[in-house]
Amino acid sequence: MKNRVKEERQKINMTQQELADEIAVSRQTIFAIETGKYIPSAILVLKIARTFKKKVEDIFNLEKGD
Amino acid sequence: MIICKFVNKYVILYVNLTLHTENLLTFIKKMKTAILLPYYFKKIGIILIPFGLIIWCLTQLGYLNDVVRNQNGHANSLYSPILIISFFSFLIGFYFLVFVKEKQEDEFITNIRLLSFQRASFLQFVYFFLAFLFMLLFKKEPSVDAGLEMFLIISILSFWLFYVLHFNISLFLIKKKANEEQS
Repeated sequence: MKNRVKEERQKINMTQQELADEIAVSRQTIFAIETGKYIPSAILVLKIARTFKKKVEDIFNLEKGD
Repeated sequence: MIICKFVNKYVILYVNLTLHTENLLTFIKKMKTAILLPYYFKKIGIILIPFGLIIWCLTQLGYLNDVVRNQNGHANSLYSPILIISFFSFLIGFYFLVFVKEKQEDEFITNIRLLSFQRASFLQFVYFFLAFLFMLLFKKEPSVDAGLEMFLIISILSFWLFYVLHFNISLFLIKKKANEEQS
């Protein structure tokens, strides 16, 4: 699954730590999501989308193999 | 009026269901971390492990003979309590290190925890398999009870050792990479 978390975060000048605090996770989790090392749960995906005030599909996209 | 009652009934049902789901989710979340200890137990574990291990080794190797043995070389009343206390200090410290929560326990950490458990169990199986194969091929089977006991203790502890190492190294590496990217 591809995601645009990093781009969306940078658009609103938000640091990884600020995003992590906003959705109550650690900074490593944000790093792992941004680099594609970890696919977040539905709850986290919805929280991220709500933080960026975007639809889930605008941030997360399925890839061919998914 | 009838429509109002109907809508009202379903609103109440929806609210109840939502509240129930919320409670259920909270319950599941609590259950997942129920056996984990608070973060400060990590420091206690880090102190207890070397303390227990060093005292146990020193006693077994005879460096504490002045304390635990009489002048005629027989073990005195301190010998067994020191061995028991040191061994259990090591064991309890190890337990603290295995079952301690991280500062911020989230789903990613839970995921690493699960992965570490899986790999540790696999490695333990490999250890078991190779150890038995080694004994079979070279006939180095533990001939006395103490040897067999030691082999089983090592195989049990190896699981937790693999787990602790894998979990902490994985976390350390991801933290390091995250810090490198930020700087």
